[in-house]
This record gives sequence, structure tokens and C-alpha cells, in this order.
Amino acid sequence: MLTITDILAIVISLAVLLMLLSYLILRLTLTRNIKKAATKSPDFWYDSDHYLGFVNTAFLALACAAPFIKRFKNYDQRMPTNIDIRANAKQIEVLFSYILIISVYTLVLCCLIYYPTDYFGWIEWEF
Amino acid sequence: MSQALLYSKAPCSLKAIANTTCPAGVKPDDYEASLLSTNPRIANAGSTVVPLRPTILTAGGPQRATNMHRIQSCSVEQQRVLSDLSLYAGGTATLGLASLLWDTKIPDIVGDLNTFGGNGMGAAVAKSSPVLSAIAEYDEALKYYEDLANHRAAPRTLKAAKERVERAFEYMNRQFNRAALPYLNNSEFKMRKAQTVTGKEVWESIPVRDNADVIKLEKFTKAGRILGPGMVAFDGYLRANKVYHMRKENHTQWKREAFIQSGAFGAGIAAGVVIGATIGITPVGIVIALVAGGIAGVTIDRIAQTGLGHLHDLLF
Repeated sequence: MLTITDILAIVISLAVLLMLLSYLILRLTLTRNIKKAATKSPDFWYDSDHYLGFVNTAFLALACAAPFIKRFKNYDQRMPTNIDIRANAKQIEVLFSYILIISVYTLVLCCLIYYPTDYFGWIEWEF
Repeated sequence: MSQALLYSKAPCSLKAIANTTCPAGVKPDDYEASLLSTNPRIANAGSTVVPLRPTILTAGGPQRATNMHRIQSCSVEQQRVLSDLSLYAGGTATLGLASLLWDTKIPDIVGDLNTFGGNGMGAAVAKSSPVLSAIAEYDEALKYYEDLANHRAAPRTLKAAKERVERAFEYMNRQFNRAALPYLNNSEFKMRKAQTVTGKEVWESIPVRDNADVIKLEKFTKAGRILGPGMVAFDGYLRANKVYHMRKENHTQWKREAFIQSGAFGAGIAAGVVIGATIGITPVGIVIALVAGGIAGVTIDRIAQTGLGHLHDLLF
């Protein structure tokens, strides 16, 4: 019989694994592709806000999974505006972007479930 | 009586330390004897003093005991924070920073946070303290310069960025010295000189005036990882070091710990970055995003540790 703790442990571990895997893959594929596309602009690298590295991979994944974020002003300051990120991304990269975002928010959801159930003592309930 | 803590860089004898730190007007033999009495774990003057263990230096006045056992009982990882920082920035700056952080109450908040959370909190508090904002400014200038250097920017742009880094460093040092001046003025005895990574000469030993300073330093050892993004690597190192020591001591749970720490470290950072990015791109702003990302990073780090630990128990 599985308890809530067991189920949460399996979900958390899967989410951690998928998150790290997709982050790594996106850093090695999507970020590199966008970097190549962005460097076509001659003065691109003189602005360090547009540095495309580990942290900006998260922005790129967001731009792929949720293109509506382009509406925000902060997006223009952080991301290269001369390229359409979703259009430049391959289908597999868009898929991994969704996996990354969903796994992160699954972890947040697990936190929201784990701490209250632990507090009220329901954590050992069996199914 | 004034006291100081000295972390030696390499193993050396107590006699060598006594020779270099002996205050003016005190006989070397008397000073050596007083060092032996304040450092009971050292058998005699010829004994080796090892790195990462503090040597307590005392000078002048009646022997009023300052309770140093709080520092001495810190773990090796915590001692390393003080040791690295005193060798990197000097003892006075270390205590100055510990004192400043104590005033901001950060150590109470971030005592057991991971680096990302610490950075988030640090960014929020940096707005309200001139010294912390000076550190943040230096950090930012350095990152900007590294970005340019990595991407082969034009020499003129690089030169301008380098000048900005130097200005930020000077400003940070001025703020540090201003904050640490009371400690500098109160030290009575010679302190060993050390050269920092920037090539500047500083005093290596950490001056300690009273028990309050000891408590500040002890808290600081736990919160010392908030100093900058470079400390993410340091956080990873501390986790690896913990597993290494468990393996070395043939601890039965070392494989479990390695499994937990390796997953949770990456999970905390990656989740913190993604959540910080999500909030940072909205009009809420980057400071709140950093704090929220930090808190999310810490929480997910903890829940990943719980989940991975439980999964390990289920599987093995």
C-alpha cells in the first residue's frame, strides 16, 4: 500500500529528474540556436543584459512555452527582440520547454500538498 | 585584553605564529606561553597548527576569558567560511561584514538557506545598506566585465568596463573600511599580513573584542554563503565535501546522502531560476523575483531532499 509520502516521493523524484534533464537539453540546444540567430545582429554582444547562458535558458523556455509573455515590458529588456524564439525553436525544444515549466510547477504543487498534509498528520494515509 | 582568531594558510608551528604576531613590548617567551594557555589543544610551541582550525591570539591586559568555544565547535565547513574570507579579504573586513550582517538580522533568516535563497535575500537587503549595495555593485560590474570578455567585446568597451570594476572595488573597500574602522582601531597587537587575490595587503587575523563578536562570527559562518553568485559553486562544494567526509568515515548512509544532495542541489537552483524568471519578466520586478525565486529554490531544495530520500528508502 502506498502512502501520500510514497506518492509524493515518486512525483517529486520524477519532476526533479525531468526538470534537470530538460534544463540541460534546452541549455545545449535551444540556447545555442537562439544565440546563433541573435548574433546576426552586429551590436548584439555589447549589451550584457542579452547574455544567453544558464539563467536565460529559463527565459527562453518561458518564451517557447508561453509566447504571451512578449507583452510584458521586462521581456524586451531581457530578451533579444529581433528574433521570434518560438518560431526559431524546433518542436522537440518546445516540448522540453513545456516539460521544464510543468515539472517546476509540479514541484511547487508538491510543496503546497506536502507541508499542509504533514502539518495535519495526514501524510501517512494509505491508498 | 584584545584577542584575535588566526586561520593559517598552511600547516606551521605555534612558534612561527608567535614570532610573527608578538605585540610590541611583550617578551616572545611570555607571549608564546600565553598562546599555549589559550590554545590548550596545542601541546607545545613546536606543535603543528593546522589550517581550518583557529588559533586564538591574545595580547595585553588581564586574562579575561572570551568564550571562544562557539567558534571552535563549528564544523569544518563553517570554519572554512571564516578561513577563506579572512585570507581573501582580511580579518577586519570579515568581522566588519559579520557585524553588518548581524545588524541587518540576515543571519537569523538565512542561517540554513542554500546559496540561491541567500542571494535573493541579499539582493533585497542590499537596497538598504551602503556596504551590501557596494558589494552588489562590484559583483554586477565584475559580471558585466566577464560577459564582455567572454564574448570578445571591442577593446574600448572592455577598458570602460574594467574601469567600472576598479571604481566599484575602490568604493566597496572604502565602505568596508568605514564599517570596520572601530575594529581596526581597537586591535592592540601585530597581526599577520596577507595578500588578497586583488594583490592588496591586509591583516589576516580576525580581531575579536568580546563574546558578542564571537556570536556574530558564529552566526556569520552559517550565513557566509550569501556573498555572491560565485558561492553557488561553494555551496555545491560544501555538499560534496559532506558526502566525501561521510564516505571517508565509512558512514552507512553516505550513498543515500550522495543521492539526495546531487538531486536537490540542481533542483533547488533550476527551480529557483525558472520561478524567478517567471516573476521577473512580469511587471512585479526583478527584486521581488529574486526573493521569490530564492524562497522557491530553498523550499524545492528541501522538498527534493525529502522526496529523494524517501525514494531511496523505497528502492534500496
